[in-house]
Amino acid sequence: MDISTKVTWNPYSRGYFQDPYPHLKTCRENNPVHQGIHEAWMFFKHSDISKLLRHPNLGVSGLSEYLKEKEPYIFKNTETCPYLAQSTQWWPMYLNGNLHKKIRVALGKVFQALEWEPVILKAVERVNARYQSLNKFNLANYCADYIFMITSEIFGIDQYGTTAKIKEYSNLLARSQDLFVSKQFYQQINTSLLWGKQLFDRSAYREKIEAALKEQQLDYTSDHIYSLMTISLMATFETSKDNLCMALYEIIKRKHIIHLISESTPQQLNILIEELFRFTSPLQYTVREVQSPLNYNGISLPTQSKLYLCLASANRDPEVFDRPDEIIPDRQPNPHLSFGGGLHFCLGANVARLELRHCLQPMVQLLKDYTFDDHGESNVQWAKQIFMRNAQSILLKRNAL
Amino acid sequence: MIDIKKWLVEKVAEETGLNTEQISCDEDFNNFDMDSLSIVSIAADLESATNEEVDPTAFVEYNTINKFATWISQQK
Ligand code: HEM
Repeated sequence: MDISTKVTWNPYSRGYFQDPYPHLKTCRENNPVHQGIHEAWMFFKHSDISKLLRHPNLGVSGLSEYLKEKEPYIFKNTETCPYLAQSTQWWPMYLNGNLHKKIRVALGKVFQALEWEPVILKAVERVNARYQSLNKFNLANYCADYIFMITSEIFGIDQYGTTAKIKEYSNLLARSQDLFVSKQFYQQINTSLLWGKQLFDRSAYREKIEAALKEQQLDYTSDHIYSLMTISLMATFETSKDNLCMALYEIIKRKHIIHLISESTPQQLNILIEELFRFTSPLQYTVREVQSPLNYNGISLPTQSKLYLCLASANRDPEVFDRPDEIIPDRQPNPHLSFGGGLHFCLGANVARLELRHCLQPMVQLLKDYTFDDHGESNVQWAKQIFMRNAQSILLKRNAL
Repeated sequence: MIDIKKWLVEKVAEETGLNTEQISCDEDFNNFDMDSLSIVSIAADLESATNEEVDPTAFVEYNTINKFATWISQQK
C-alpha cells in the first residue's frame, strides 16, 4: 500500500470523542505502528502492546520532569507559584527504577491494609437510597457519587471542601496527564493543586502513607506526601467511576445483560466484570519511553523516543478477542490490558474489581426501571479527554408504569 | 466576528515576543520560536474568543497563519 494513503492517528478526527473505536480499528488494521499527529510512535495491536509493556529497554516517561521544563512557559508573566512539577513528583506511573519500586511497595501495602469492603458495601446502600426516589438523573453523577463515597471515606476528606470541588480537583489531576493540554488549562490545574493542599491535613490515610515510607527508608518532605495523596485520590476516583459509568451505559442498552447479572453466581459475575473492564478500557493509552536504543520489528527507536500504547485498541483486537466489539458475558480467557501490565500494573485492580462485585447487582436492580431520557442514547455527552475516556452526562428517566 | 488573521498575528507575536510587523503570515508555525505548548494554547484562546471548538491538530495541516485563517473561514 502506498504509505501516503495510510491513516494517521489523530484524536481530533471526526467523532473520536463520542466513539474512538472506529478510528482505532482503522489504525489497527491499516497502520498498526506509526508516528501519530503528535509525532510519537503509536501502537495498536495487542501482540505489540503486551510485549512492549514488559520490554526491558523501555521505562515510563517523567511527567514531573516534563512539567518542570514547561513551568517557565506556563507561568510566564503571572504571579502564580508553580506547583505542577512538585505535586506530581512521586506519581508512581511516571517513575522508574528503585524509587518506583519503593513507592509502589509502600502504596501497595497501604492499599492492601485498608478496609475497603465495609466502606464499599455502605456506599452501595447509600447511593441507591439517594437515587431510588428520583424520576430522572445523570448516570455519570450516580457512578461518581458511589465511587466518591468510597474515596472520601478511605481518605478521610469528606468533611473538607465541597464534594463538587473535590470532584473537579480530581478530574483536573487526571487531565494533567492528557495530550494537547494548553497553558491556560495547566494554570487552572495548578490553582486547584494549591487549593487541595489542605484536603489531607487530618487524613488518617496520610499517616499510614508516612509510616509505609519510613518502612521503605525513603526520605520525604511534605510535598512528596502531598504528591502521593493526590495520586491516591485521583487513581481511586477517576478510572473507577469512568469504568462503572461506561459499563452501566452498555448494560442499560442490553436488557439481557441486566437479567443475566441479576441471576449470576459470584463466579459468573467475576467473569463478566473482566469483560466489562476490557470493553470500557477507561485508561485508553499508556506511554513508554525508550531508555536504551531499540530495534523493534525493523523500526529503530532511539533513546527518549515516546511510544503510545493504545490499551483500548489492544482490547478490541480480533486476533485475541473473538467478536471484540461485543460484550460476551462468559468470555474466557480474557487477557485484556485495561490495567496495563509489567512493572506498572495497576495497584488498584483488586479494589476496582471489589467495587464492581458489590455494586453491579444492586445497581441493575435500580436501573432496570430506567431508560435513556428523551434525547436517546446517542446524545451522551462525552468528555474531551484522550487518555481517560468518560461520559459527562447520560440522562436517565424512570420508565412509565 | 473577530478577524482571525489579525488575531493570529497578535497571538503569535505574543508567544514569540516579536512585533506584529515581524510576523509573516506565510511562515510555517514550526519556524517561529515558540514553545511546544504554544499552538495548543493559541487554539484554546481561539476557542474562548470565537466560542467555537478548535482542533489543535489542524495547525499541523494548515501550518501558516494564512492557511489556517482561510481554513477556519471555510468551516463556517
Ligand atoms: C477500573 C478502574 C481502574 C483502571 C482501568 C486502572 C488502570 C490502570 C492502569 C492501566 C495503570 C498502569 C499505568 C501504566 O501503565 O503506567 C494503572 C496504574 C495504577 N493504578 Fe489503576 N486503574 C483503576 C483503578 C485504580 C484504583 C481503584 C486504584 C487505587 C486504589 C488505582 C491505583 C493505581 C496506581 C497507584 C497505579 C500506578 C502503579 C505503578 O505505576 O506502579 N487504580 N491503573
